[in-house]
Amino acid sequence: MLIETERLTHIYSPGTPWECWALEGITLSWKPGSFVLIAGPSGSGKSTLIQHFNGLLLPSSGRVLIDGEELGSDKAALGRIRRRLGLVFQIPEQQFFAETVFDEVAFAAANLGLSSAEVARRVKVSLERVGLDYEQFRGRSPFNLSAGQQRLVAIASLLPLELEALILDEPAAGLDSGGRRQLALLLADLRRQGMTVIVVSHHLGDFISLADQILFLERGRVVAAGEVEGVLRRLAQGYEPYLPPVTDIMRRLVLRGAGVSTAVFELAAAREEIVSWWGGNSG
Amino acid sequence: MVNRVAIGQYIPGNSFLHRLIPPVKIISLLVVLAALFMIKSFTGLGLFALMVLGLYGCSGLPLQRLVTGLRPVLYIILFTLVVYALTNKGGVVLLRVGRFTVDSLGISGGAFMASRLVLLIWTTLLLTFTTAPLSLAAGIEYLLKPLQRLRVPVAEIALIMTIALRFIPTLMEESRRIMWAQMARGVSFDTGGLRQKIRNLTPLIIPLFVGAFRRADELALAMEARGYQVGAERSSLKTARVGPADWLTLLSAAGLLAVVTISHI
Ligand SMILES: Nc1ncnc2c1ncn2[C@@H]1O[C@H](COP(=O)(O)OP(=O)(O)O)[C@@H](O)[C@H]1O
Ligand SMILES: [Mg+2]
Repeated sequence: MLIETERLTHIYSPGTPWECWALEGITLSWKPGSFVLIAGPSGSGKSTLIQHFNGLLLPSSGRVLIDGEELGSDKAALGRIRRRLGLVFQIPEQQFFAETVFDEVAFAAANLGLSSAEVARRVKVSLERVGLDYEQFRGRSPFNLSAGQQRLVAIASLLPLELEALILDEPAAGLDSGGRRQLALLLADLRRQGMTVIVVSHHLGDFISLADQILFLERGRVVAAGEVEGVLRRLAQGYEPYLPPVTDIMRRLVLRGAGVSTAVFELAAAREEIVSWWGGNSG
Repeated sequence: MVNRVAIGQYIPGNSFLHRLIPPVKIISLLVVLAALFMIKSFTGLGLFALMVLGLYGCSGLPLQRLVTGLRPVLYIILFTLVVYALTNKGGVVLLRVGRFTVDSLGISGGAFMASRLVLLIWTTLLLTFTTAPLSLAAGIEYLLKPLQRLRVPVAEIALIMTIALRFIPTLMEESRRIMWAQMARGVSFDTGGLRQKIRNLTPLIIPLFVGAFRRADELALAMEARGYQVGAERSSLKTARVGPADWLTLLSAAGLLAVVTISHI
């Protein structure tokens, strides 16, 4: 799914003392099948931005285009977009309401008006895609699962829509390292199947190895955008707290005079950088 | 529907009305409203309206909020007008529809009552626009204190009021978030028949209740952890002193009531 914005600006409560410019002139274009990481400090406008992609928020000025079609206030068109582009909110477990995992996951499919056999099939496929065993989980209460399992059920509950794009707001928040790993595997899997995936995260470390595009926001403006390596190089000055740990180490080495690149985030690549600089230096 | 700013919602500012202490503001409001009900002529109402608008002007409140503030009570105002017009007899007959007549006294009486109602609301909005809800609750608690002698649980009532006021915006925000989350799962809250609409409320109400109970649990724990006890005497972090501006306001309000009563305006 091709996602674009042109000079997107969003102002909350315009004309009141609470007026807040959450986004200012954001222009971006993400190709179908991309894996995008949106990062930035809290309050930088990440959640506001993604809520424009399925028309929950409409721009104060500027445009949002999905596959070239501008999002407006046409309800039917927005409904069609929402069936193709899924949005997982922050702490999505809080929207649970059904008695069983089956009903929770079936909700979206039932809203499509499918036959019950087709609903059951899609629920089974969706649960298995997130790595939960259908027979084991279908009858359990979604409220009594572990935090990690709840997060997976919440994501699975959108998959019966057979989405082209999935957007997740801070999906790793509140998960332990096991939960995070499982989530990363799931996202990698969805992307392999051709889905466009957009992940919001205030820290760059969590999903950077999956990303091919990064958008870094601060106070509603773009600080850096584009390919991962360029963005890391650009952020090395002044945005240390948001860097992946390995990148931060490289940055410190550079500060001490090492001739290594700051655009790496994996241990193996970092080692190669350091070894080749060392070799070049002593040879 | 949940996005709309609540009626009479506090508008932050730093005018002299904002700075008055809440108990003084509440008492002055009651005195001024008493004066409003003593007014007998349109001239009096006109002067009163000028005073209220003047106060709006000096406190930097957006005047358009006066109009939006009336919207929820528009029907009550119209109803008052119609009932008065149909029941008050006298003067010239202006309109005759079958057995019903509308007299000139009916129209003027209705207009008088409706204007009084509008002014009542505007004056009250002056209080709620310039006082944060929690300060308002604290002010009411202070004024009700004497009732404690009569074994009225004033502190508990005030606590309930404070908690309710504190959590209304939170719950409104939460219901908007849940609504959006369910919309992302393909529910449409504004299309379909009545039965469909009612059924669509389940995925909204259950998470809202679960969240509210979780909040209540956390709040109770947090209060206990900070030593809250039912019935125990509590002191207050912020104690406001009555300043010159407060005395002046009380005096002016009393003066207004006196002038209106004596002058039969
Ligand atoms: N519903 C709202 N009403 C008013 N202001 C809001 C609302 N939601 C967010 N904001 C403000 O918009 C800015 C961006 O918020 P948000 O998009 O939630 O940031 P992030 O997700 O990056 O933490 C913040 O300053 C926030 O206070
Ligand atoms: Mg956010």
